[in-house]
Amino acid sequence: MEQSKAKSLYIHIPFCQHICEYCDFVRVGYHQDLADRFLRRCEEDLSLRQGETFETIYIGGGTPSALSVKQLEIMLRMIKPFRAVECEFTMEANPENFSEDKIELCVEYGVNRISLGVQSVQSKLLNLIGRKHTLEDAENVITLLRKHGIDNISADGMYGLPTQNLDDFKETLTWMINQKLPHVSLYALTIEPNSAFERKHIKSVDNSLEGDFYQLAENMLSDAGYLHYEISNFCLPDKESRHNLTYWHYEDFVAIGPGASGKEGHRRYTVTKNIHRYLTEGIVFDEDIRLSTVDEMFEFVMMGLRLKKGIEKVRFSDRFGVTIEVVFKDAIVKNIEKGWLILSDTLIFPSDDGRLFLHDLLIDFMEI
Amino acid sequence: MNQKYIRNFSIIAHIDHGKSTLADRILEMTKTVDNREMMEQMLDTLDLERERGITIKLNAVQLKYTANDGHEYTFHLIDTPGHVDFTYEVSRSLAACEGAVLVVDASQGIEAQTLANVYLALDNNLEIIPVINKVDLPAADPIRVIEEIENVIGLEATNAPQISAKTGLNVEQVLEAIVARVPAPQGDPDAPLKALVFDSIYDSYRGVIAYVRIKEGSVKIGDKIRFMAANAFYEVVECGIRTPKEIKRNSLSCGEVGWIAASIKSVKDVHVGDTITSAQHGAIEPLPGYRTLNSMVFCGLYPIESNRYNDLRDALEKLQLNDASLKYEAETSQALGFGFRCGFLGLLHMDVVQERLEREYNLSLIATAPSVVYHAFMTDGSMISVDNPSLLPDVQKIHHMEEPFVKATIMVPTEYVGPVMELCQKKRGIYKEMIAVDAGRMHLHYLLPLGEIVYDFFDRLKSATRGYASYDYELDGYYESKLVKMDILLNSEVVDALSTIVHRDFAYARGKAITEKMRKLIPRQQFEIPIQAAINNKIIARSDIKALRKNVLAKCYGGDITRKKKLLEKQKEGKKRMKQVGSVEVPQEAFMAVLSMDED
Repeated sequence: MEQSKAKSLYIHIPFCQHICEYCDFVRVGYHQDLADRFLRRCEEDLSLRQGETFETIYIGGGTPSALSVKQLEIMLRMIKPFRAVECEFTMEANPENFSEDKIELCVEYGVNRISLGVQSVQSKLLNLIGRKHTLEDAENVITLLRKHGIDNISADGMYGLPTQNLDDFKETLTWMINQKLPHVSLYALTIEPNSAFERKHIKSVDNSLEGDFYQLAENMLSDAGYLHYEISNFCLPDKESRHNLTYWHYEDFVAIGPGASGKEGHRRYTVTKNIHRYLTEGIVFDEDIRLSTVDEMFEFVMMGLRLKKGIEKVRFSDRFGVTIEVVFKDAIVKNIEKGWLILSDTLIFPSDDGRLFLHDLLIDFMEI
Repeated sequence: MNQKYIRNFSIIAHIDHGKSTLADRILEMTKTVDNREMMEQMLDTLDLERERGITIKLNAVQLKYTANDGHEYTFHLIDTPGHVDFTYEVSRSLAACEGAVLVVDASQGIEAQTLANVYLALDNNLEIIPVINKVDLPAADPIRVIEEIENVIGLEATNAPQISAKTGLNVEQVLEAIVARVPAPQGDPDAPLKALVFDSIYDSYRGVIAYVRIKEGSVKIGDKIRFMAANAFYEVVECGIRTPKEIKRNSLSCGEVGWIAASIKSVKDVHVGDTITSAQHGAIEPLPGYRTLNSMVFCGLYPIESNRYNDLRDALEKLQLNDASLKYEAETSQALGFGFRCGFLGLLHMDVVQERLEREYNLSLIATAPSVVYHAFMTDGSMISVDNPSLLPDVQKIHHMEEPFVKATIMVPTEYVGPVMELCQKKRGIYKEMIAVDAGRMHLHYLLPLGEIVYDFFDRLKSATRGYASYDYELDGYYESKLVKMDILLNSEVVDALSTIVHRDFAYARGKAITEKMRKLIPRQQFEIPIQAAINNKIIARSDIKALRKNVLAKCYGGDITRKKKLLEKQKEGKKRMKQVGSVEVPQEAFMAVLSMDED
């Protein structure tokens, strides 16, 4: 394996107590034996990384908090040696099963950031998307986290849900602001081919309405002092997710667990999505790509322009030995003319309109 | 080669009745193709044909068969296209034969198109050998089918071989019948050369290769030859046969079927149906039956990327060689730029040409909606033929208009007569008569405007009858109709490529259906786009495409770069299929939407 300089580690826990209707990530219903086997398998993968330490670690899923207290401890213990000093250590949790004993374990093993799947404050919407927690559960978890010293809390929210109206979403945003959560991720419902919603023929909401939701979030959260630092992410000053910035900065990250994607050097891979194969066949990849310079240049831009701050030009030229203005001359000129892209001495970043139409903008960068 | 032992024949069958399977079996049984090389449906060489299960292009193979009489016979099997669009090509390949094997499905009976081809074969004085196929299927009813052949065509069929081309059952009887009943080629081997061109292909190294049947005389390498209709002179560089592999020979003799290469670089010199003769002391009269084809359906073809106009022209030129019935000439559209107005035999033909251009020549194209040729009679007494609706003269200058009608024969099980009549009514059909073929089946005769049936008539007929109906048509003539030009405005600009000619009484419904369909087909863009239908500058229908608010996915997939990228690649592919018309990006399908009848 190529020697990694990765500073970030992602571990995917594929278990959930309940499967959400919109979800297409690799996930199965929680089963104790399966989870035990999974943890042993994870340990093997981690053992290959002995000696490395990571500045950010992210345990996602699935639902990491669906593991039993004992299993959670096993997992956190095996990760412990990989934490760098000042490590941002995030774990995703579902309010329905994040009990105080699990929270205590997190604190004990250095987890210092929790990403909480709140999604909505309306029970009717939570029911509709197959989530079994209530707003009260979420509030209790937040109180417990703070009690145990974990203040760095992020909440996920969703918009564009079936029957959801602007007032519903406004209520959720208001709650998030009132909770003074330092970080908020807002996702538009996408109907994915492998989700229950797709099988039920649920349709995505109209593009205009989705635009209204997006704009509402932008307005309310900015007024409350949040920075819309990435398309789907908002934070109070200096509370960006350092782990996710690794992605947006197109730096290396190691991936462990079924369906997890990693990037190390000129290589990008996705571990098999088949949990059975993951458990039985050692390291199997669904994709394992050798990246060309052209691939890397485009991917760098694709990820970087999702940030409000955009791309630091010097990072591009340091990395590729050529300036971004030379490589993407046509696309940059065209989109500056369109008013979608802004160039400063040090940065290149999308305008507000450019962000709204980022996909159209990026397509121009696909042809060098 | 002794003409006595040559047999030239085609196979006539309805789609799916087993023509290609029978051809495969014959190739196998005559050891023409060894099993290792055998690929199912050997004769259909174009990918497209194999995919669609239809035969579009002709092919000819030579095979050797030792009959029960102990003699070795040389068979030439000439494959014919099996679709109503390709009548002329069928008739030319039939003209290269003395006999035809008529394959009829033992459970389905005769279909309208089969009937049409049988008549073509009879016109060419071919000996017809009926064969009942698929007798191994549970639904097979050979007795009924034999009766039907006798009643409908008037052919003696009592002793018709009852076969299964799939399993090979009784296929030998077919081969023996060919020996016994198909006449040996006549023709004088010492007369001046007369070779019938029934197909041609383009080879980038050797130029045009003509597929021929030697009717009189012979031809050898080095001979100077003349294409009579084109009056073009060449020298034979190579000739030979196919088995279906190409085999080179020094000469082709009277009665044989093979190919000729003569460094022909000009594709315009080789026409299906033309006669090749010797350059000096050649034949005086060409073989009968040659004609320039009349295109029935026209559409504009435009490259999505304007700079590929020349590539499109080259591709059309090459394709025309392999497909004599394709016609084209340059045209310009305000909306689409430089392109070609192309003439086709029918809609399937149009589809196939478009697909071949895209696939074999790697072009992305916009096809405008197919149109027929209308006759506009002007107030000054003159008449103008219009094959491009946008070019219809000003309404004030037109006295009246005529459109082509076809005589359509629809064969349908009795229980579906109702839905078929309803469909014909909707398509402005004029009922002529109804004849009972047998207890369960009817022949419906209608006069239908060609313009109404080119688009989706066959599909609708199939779905109205659960696939049981078949139909055939021939041009009947021009009749007066109350026709008007309907323009479509995108973002308040008339798009010439979207104009159509419609019947006045149906105009409002059409306008509504079209604008609604286009609203669904044209993706939202960053501004609102009104779509309007207008007659004589008067708006009769309108739909609006709402503006796109955003195009960026706020979805949770963190480090999954592949999925982000795939999404963009998909959008990029989508954009490639769209043409910039003014400020609006219009996808290919939207140009066809102007033929929508309903809002579905």
